[in-house]
Amino acid sequence: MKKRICLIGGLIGLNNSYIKDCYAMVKLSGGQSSGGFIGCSYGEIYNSWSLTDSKRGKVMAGFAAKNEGIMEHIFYIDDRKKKKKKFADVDLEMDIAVIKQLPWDYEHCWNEAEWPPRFREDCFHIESACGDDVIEINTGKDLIEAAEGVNSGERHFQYACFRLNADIDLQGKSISPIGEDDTLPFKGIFDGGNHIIKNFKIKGKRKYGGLFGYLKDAKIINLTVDAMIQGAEYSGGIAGVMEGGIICCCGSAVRIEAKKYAGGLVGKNREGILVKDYAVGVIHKQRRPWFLLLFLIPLLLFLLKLGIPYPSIPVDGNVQAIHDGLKPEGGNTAAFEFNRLIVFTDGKGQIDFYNPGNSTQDIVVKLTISDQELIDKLGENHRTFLDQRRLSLLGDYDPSLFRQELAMTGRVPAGSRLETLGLSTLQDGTELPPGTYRGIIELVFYDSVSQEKALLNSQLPVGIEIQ
Amino acid sequence: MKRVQLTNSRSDAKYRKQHRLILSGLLLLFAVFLLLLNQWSGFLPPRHESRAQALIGASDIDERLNFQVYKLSDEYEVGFCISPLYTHDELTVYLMNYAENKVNIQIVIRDEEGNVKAQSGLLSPGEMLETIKVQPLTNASLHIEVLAYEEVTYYSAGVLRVRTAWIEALEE
Repeated sequence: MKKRICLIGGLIGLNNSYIKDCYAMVKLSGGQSSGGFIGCSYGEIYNSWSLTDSKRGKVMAGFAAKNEGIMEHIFYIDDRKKKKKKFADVDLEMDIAVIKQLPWDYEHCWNEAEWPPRFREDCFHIESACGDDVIEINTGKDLIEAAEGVNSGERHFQYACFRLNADIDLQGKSISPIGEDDTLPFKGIFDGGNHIIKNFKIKGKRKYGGLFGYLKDAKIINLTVDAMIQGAEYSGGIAGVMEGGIICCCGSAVRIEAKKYAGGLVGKNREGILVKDYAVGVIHKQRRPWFLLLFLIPLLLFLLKLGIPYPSIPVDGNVQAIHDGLKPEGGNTAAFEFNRLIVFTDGKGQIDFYNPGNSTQDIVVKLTISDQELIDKLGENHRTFLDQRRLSLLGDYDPSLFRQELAMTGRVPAGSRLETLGLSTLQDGTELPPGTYRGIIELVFYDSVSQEKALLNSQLPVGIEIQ
Repeated sequence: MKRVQLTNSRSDAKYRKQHRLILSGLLLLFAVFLLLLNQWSGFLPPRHESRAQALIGASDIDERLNFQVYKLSDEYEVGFCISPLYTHDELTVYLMNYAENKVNIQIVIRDEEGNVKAQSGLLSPGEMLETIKVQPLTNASLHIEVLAYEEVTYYSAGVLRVRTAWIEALEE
């Protein structure tokens, strides 16, 4: 299987040229090799530093994961909370006293009052080399038009001198890099005018990702970007790749999802020069959304549960499991016991219903009373007016055959006991007054496994005493 | 000219905020899924039968199909042909769920070994299923099951099982 390279650097992913007076404060995560300042360098680096917080990389370094060039007057500060693994270039972590002795250019570049030193605000600027033939960019629309011009291969735009006249907020818009391909690189000058282009995204599968995709002998100055870059093989806040040219007095605040070569400022620098630049933000290796695997658990549960032929009637809340040691012995067995006189006190009746463990049926218990019994004891059937009308329309109303429900339980599974029943009112809302009545217990059987209702039900006479 | 240097990325902060929101949303969804699954019995209601049609009179059915009506409880009675006609991978059953019923019904056809050869969707009260598509039947004998479901809860309202045999073309 082909090994995937993922080289991450706080400022540059891969460099073979010249870097001076730069710093990086970028959090790094993952990748084959990651360096707080640079992933891999074959060039020269002078007077630069990094504040390094890196994790999960195979080879992690405070400053440079791999260096086969020249590095002078450089250092890093280990900003990790957990220092489980030593940085590969641990010898570059120096004492502050020693670092301060290094020849920092406090007059034209670094702010002596700050530690670690950042650029002096009054010196973080370079004069533009643009002549009179300048394309001015004032809005996001102008910027997108400029990108379209370069990407469509218009020579006028490719070699243009752009000047940014205002801060631009692209409001989270996804845009195409300027010079998105190496066959159509940007070769001109872009003067940021000390302004910022912020809140934009470079998304999707592409080779070069950054405000500029591919720079060839271009000059980018006085510009700050704040962006999110995802899915590009070469990615950097300012440019994916720079070939020749210069980037000076630029800043990059980014969140980059690294695929191959990624740097806070530039993914890959070939023969270019970087002076007085910085990068802050986060660079992490492209991750798979592993947490979506969590949703396999409910799916699995769903499939495991799926396929029962009928839903179960809920088990009665007052049911108690009993351990009578009985087990079903094949075939269908329905067995039960209950009190033949149910005494109700405060709406609760003692039934002591028992469905033994060797039964293959769950049982739902209904306590009913015939209309005839109600008429005999109370003088009327206590049905609602509408129901009276319905029955009179039927024409064959026989009060001894029509019943009203006084109580109904939930399911009483095999191997359980139900001690009490709750009494409900008659159909018209009347409570059954104290006294003794003849009731009927109706038992409805459901197969304990399939929950299939048996077509034969039992009906048994029972005494009801209301106290 | 003075110029501020950024110390963090606003795009990153925005991404983190969105990411946290999405993650908490997904976790919430996950918890809801688990909760629902925990409460779910494992039953999925059968679909409604797309070939359902209005009832016809029993007199309109050929006598040789042996149309029978079964009263299964006070709540419902069903009718169907106990000698269904088998032609072109279809069984003519005339399964009827009468309008007065308070249940939905479904028919299942099994072969001698109990393998399901056909299964209909649900018929509401007042609906009939004339024919049902079946997998090829090699043996003449078959089992017809009529499953009844309570209308709202889908609790079982009983099953009628009949062992019978299909007939081939009706001779004039």
